[in-house]
Amino acid sequence: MLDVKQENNYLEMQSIVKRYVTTVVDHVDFSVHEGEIHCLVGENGAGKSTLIKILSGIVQADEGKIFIEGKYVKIDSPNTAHRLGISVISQELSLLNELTIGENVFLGVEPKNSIGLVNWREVHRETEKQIYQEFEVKLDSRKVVKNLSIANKQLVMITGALRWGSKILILDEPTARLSKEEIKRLFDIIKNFRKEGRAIIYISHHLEEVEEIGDRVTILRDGRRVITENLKNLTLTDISNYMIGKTKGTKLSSDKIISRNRTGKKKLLEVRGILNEKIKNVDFDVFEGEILAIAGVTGSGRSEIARAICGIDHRDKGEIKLMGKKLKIRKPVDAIKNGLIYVPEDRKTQGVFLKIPVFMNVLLNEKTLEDLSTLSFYFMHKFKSFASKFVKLLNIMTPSLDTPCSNLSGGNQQKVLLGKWLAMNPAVIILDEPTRGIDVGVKLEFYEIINKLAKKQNKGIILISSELPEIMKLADRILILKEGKFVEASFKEDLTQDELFNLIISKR
Amino acid sequence: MNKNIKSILGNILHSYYRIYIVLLIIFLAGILSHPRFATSQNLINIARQISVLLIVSVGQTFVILVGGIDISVGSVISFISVIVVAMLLTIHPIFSVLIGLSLGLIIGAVNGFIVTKFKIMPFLVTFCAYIIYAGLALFVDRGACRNVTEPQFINFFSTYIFGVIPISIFYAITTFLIGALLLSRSIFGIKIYAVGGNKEAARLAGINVNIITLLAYAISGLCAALAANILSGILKMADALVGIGYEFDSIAVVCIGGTLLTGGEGSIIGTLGGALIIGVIKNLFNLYGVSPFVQQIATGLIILTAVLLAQKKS
Repeated sequence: MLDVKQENNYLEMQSIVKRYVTTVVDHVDFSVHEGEIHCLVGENGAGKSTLIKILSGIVQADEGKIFIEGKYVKIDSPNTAHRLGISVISQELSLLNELTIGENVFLGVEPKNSIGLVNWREVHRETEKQIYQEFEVKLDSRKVVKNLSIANKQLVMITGALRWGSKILILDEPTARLSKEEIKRLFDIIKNFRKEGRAIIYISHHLEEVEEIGDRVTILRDGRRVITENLKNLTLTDISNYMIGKTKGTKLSSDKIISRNRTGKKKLLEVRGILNEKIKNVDFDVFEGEILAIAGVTGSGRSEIARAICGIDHRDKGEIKLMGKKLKIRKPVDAIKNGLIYVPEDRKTQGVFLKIPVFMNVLLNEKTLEDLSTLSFYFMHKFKSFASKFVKLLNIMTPSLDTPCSNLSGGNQQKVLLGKWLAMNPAVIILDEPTRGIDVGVKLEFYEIINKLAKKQNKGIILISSELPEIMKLADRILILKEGKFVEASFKEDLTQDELFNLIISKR
Repeated sequence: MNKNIKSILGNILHSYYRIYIVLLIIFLAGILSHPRFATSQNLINIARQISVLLIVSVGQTFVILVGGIDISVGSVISFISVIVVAMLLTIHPIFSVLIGLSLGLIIGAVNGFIVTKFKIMPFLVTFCAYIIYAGLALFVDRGACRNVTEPQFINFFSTYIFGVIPISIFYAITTFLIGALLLSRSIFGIKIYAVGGNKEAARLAGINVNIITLLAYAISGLCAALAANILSGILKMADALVGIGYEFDSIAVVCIGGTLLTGGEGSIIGTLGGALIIGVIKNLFNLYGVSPFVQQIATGLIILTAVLLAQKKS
């Protein structure tokens, strides 16, 4: 099989291990030949991006070896990766926005003139020539990168990588924000690289793309390699089956209601015609006791819907009614005071206050602070006893109430964050990726809490998640989002996880 | 109850013990090495010198905690003291003082408004304010020192309690206590830490980040104005250069006190420790007759050491 060492492996990663709190990459083997497009697929959290980070020197593997052309290499920094000819063309586009196209392309390899200064005329002439020769596109090399389209920025990155003489090109979700024509052009470029004998690693959520362009595919799940196989031998269904694993039919908890039976259930939240740059006229309702999941690929506007509703991002149009009452939400505080809560996705930047003690974090929102204080002063014991209720309720593991949040594990920080919003006793809770980056055990605890909130306390819950098993386990109803629009709504009972997966990733 | 006090004391000592141990060592060194150091006259002198600096530094602490910096306090002190002393000639002293204090508050609030509204770096905004108010002070003053002769004013700012303790110490302690109370027992204090620690999270938690930031600058302006009045009272005169140096001294005090310049972490108790250290060291230099130039070099080195120590802690 393919596991047998092959002589023509240009790049070979052997038994790579990376551990954070959990093992995120677990003895993964991966290799690319010259003139091959090797696709890397897997669900969010499967370990793709960590593997790429190891290869590009951003993080270091705990175990395992990397060989290039059969020679052992140690990639200890992005600089080393660069010098070994590894270039990443990523979603985040690592260009220097304020510099010109030419300056970006020639960064670090600027041609010098006779007195040792950079020969800018040559930089720009060469850049324009190269971009035209490779892609048949005319760009003014003296333009600042900032104002270019995403597609053209990609071209600049690729040109830079070629200028460096990079032989290994890693394309990380390159089509995420491209139009159909732009994707076609990009694919022609990639195929051309294959002809030139470069080793290409292609990462994408869109399996159709993988099938169209790839030679081989490696499928990752939960940090392990499931299979590496020639794409000719696999169907799309095979791939998605490998990605989500064979375990189907998640058990439902006993107190689950059949969601279609809404008799006697109140409509909690009514959202109509939400419109901004990212969201295109979105309508939906949430009923009491219901868990509504919003699913979609990265960049489809999942978080943006929540942020637009809760007054975090601006909104051009749209009406929000909570329990029949029309709300005027302009700032986050308006949503909070009315009992509409958004628990953000990125807890480090938007959620917890790392330097502030646990108990204070639980209380730290405008409404709770106001409720618990007298004339804007407070008594420490009152605060602590209130917070300790939530610490107990959510089973937050902390040495003491005074411990700064930075000393807690990720899962416990996430609980603190949830506690902060529950302390307000909201009517509708929007949970954005509530279990990202936390341990399996804590994950199960979270599921129990979320279920309890909906079924016992009759709250309306909107669950935004990229983990399908999570959605299958929790949601009553699922909305599928594509490019800022809902394309599909379904009751969970009508859907298997595979079908859901296919709906999410199907052609735009 | 006793246990409670002990644990509170323990907490305070735990987080700030380094500064206070350093202070203790310097203090003991002073007592042992110079006969005049521990005299009551000298100690009262130290306290009086520190009190103005402490008041300015309390205001500075608020601004730095919220993630900003206030370079303007020095020239705001000069400006307010010149203005108030000029007003004393025509207006009742109590009104002059009140107008001076409100002017300080407004100047700070304007700084805060520009920082939040236009998203300009705090350093730049307050640096420009520094230049503007230094100029205004000279403009009002026209280069002449004015003596303060108004007895009520002098009485109010430089009298002695029980005939021995300068009243400036009373103002400093009051400012310190109010600052400490605000930061450790009020909702406003929590919000200061929240905004300084994580602006986006604070916004999402419904906190009005702009108002909190603006208030921090306003407090700094108010403290500077109070310091200005006390200085005029002590010196019995006002001139346009009287406040120079307080901006950097106050920043130094806050840094030595363990407050991070990045915001979100620190305390008023630390600031008190910082002010005491600077005050005691400067006093010792003077007792030993160290030249002012060497004093400056040493002060710089001391601040650097203190910041290094504080970094080690975190």
